[in-house]
Amino acid sequence: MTASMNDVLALADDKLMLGHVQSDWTGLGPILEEDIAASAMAQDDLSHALVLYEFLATSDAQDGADELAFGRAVADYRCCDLMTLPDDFDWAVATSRRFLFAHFAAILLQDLRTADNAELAERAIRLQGEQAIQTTHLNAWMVRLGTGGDDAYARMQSALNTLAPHAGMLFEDIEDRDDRFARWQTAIAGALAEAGLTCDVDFPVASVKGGRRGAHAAHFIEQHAEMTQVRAAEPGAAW
Amino acid sequence: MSKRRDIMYDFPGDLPGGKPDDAHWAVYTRKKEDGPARWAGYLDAVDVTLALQYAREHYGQDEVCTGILIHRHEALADSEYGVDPIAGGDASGDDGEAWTVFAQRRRGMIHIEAGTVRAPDAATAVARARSKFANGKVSNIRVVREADCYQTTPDELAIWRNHDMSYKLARGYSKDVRAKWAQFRSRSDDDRYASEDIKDHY
Amino acid sequence: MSGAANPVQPLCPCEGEDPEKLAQFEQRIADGVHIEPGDWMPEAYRMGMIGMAEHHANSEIIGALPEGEWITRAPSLRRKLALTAKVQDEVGHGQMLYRVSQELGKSRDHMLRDLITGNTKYHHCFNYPAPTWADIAMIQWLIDGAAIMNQKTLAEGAYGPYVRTMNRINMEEAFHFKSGEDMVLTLMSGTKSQKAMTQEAFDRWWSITLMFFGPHDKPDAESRPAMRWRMKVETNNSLRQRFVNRFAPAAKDLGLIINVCEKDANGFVTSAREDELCRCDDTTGNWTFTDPDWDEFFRVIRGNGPCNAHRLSLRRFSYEQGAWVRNAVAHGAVNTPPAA
Repeated sequence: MTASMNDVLALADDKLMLGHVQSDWTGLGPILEEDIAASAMAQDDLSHALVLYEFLATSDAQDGADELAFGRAVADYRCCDLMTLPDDFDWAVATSRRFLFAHFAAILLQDLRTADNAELAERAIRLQGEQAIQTTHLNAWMVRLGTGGDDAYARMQSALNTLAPHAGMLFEDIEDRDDRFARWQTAIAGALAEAGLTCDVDFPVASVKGGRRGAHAAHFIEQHAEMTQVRAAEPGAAW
Repeated sequence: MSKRRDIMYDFPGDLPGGKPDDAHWAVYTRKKEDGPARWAGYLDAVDVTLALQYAREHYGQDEVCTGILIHRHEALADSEYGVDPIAGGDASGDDGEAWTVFAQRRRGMIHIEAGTVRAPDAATAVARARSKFANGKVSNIRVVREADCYQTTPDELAIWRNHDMSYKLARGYSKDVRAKWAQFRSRSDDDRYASEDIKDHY
Repeated sequence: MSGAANPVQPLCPCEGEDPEKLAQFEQRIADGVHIEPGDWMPEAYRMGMIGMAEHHANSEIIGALPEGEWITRAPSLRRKLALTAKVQDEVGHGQMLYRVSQELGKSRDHMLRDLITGNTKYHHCFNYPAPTWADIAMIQWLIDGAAIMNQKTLAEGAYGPYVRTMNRINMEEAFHFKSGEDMVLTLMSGTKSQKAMTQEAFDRWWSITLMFFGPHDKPDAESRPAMRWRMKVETNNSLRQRFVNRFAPAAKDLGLIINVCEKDANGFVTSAREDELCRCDDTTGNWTFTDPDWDEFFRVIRGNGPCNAHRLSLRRFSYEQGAWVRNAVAHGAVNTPPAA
């Protein structure tokens, strides 16, 4: 399979921004043990982004990775803006978003395993095992929270209702959209059904431009500014 | 600061109602696949599925870890904690179910998996375990029914991550730090300063 | 990450306790034998250890907050990962330390609530602001450096469960300190503006770290319960001296100036003059230094530091936001083991 470098960059940017938003939860999670586990997965997403950026960087790997992560113009990031939709420290929104994305990332990594580029394929195989940790953990959490009583159920359904209109854009401007969308619907269906939750996501309309084509929402621009502010204060400096 | 943390929240009323603790689980980790399970710490979790996941994420990430074993704290039975090594005894017998035995070499040290005994009840298990494993070298014997011990399986998900973890290990920095200090101070000054570092591990 | 500089000091420690059992307990400690759960112990010891481990745990949980503020702005992927991992470790340390107190009879939820309501305290140093990235470097170099020195001595204490927890914590602490050193070294080898930022951060954190080890010891410290029972093993002053002996020359070698500073109510430096006292006494080998402002220390631990209100507000926010999650998890507990 000839992997699209655009897809690789999209996945890297998604993981960077989700890792960025999710790592900010560290120390504020609802249960100490889950705080630790969630932070581990945020670090995994950041590390995966690093692995993919190092692959994509044409110059020195680590510097090149940082340049890609921090140095591009806003319009050059290919992340879906679902990643930076504010969660206001609502665990229901945070968990549901991670769940929806984790299954998307799992599908992309599954496809990248058979990339013609051997180095890319090798990286995808390495990351896939850790991605499975996330999908397993998050499937279980969707069920725990969805079946955790009326209050929890209401919060989770409300969170999914907030996220659903934005989730389709995960499939904006990527290869094999129809096929991947269908596989993703199947992947998330099991846990949602067991949790008694619904998430109706429409296939994205091609004419509506979103994050993957550089038309980013204000919340992405804000997060990007925060993320890059220290580095930008002293361009070229070592930190 | 992170913008969404930069808010002063106001809570006029009382704290919402509290709750009792979740179940307590003892966690042991294996450094090598055929090595003994070594006590790592405790965690609270409502059930074993969550407990195993938490055990992996908290205690399985500090170093290369090939396996994790957990049990409910209440599931353990033990001998006294001897100030001197505890007496062994001559309790023998093979009837009953399997119990996993952990031994503490001296007060203050961790418990390490020693082996198994069979016994129909906890008291007999402790007696048989001390007979088999005390050998004048142990301060405490602990037994847990094998059925009450839960473990990660070899073909389960990877515990130790595949990507570069050196960012969270001291050895990921030591060489760079040494080289950078050399630009500021002499080697002997640095040796004196670094003598306070925690050297073992990482 | 930190260590209890002010463990609970019982006033009338052993009234009503069995004198023979008490003598045996104290002899055991004097002989260097560890105390294990299930041992007879005076109530003052049990309450003292609960309080000490709880104070230490609280400090980890609150300590996670000033550094956590900077995760979103870390200037490279590696620094971002390292800072996230460090703050994650602090949550883990808090969890392990709460366990020590749980085992002695206080529930974790009770401890989290007491922290939020101000019934219990935590290390004074986490009530100060971290206004720049260089503050993160300083916290990891100075405060973690001090914490490691303290925790290494706490690992020599008498209470088995706490000692085992110290050993585990110290394993992780090594990376915190090395990462902090790496950041400070990088900044002081950097641009003019990075160096200036680092000097300002040093000005903010040097005196805070001197106070980290707690106030001057009472003259009879070594015979009071905390040290007699080996809850702590070294005096505050001795630890502080060792810290200065190590870090003052290191700071000077980096090109930092050790200043005596005045601060405003927000924790920002309003004036700084070089500490004339800060030099090595060749006869003793010890560095002399200007005593930090102990009035400031007591003001801050009583609740009037720059960030006390914000720290507790964020802790309460987290607790309130998370209540539904804890309830949901308890509601839906699954008692079957995972498929093997």
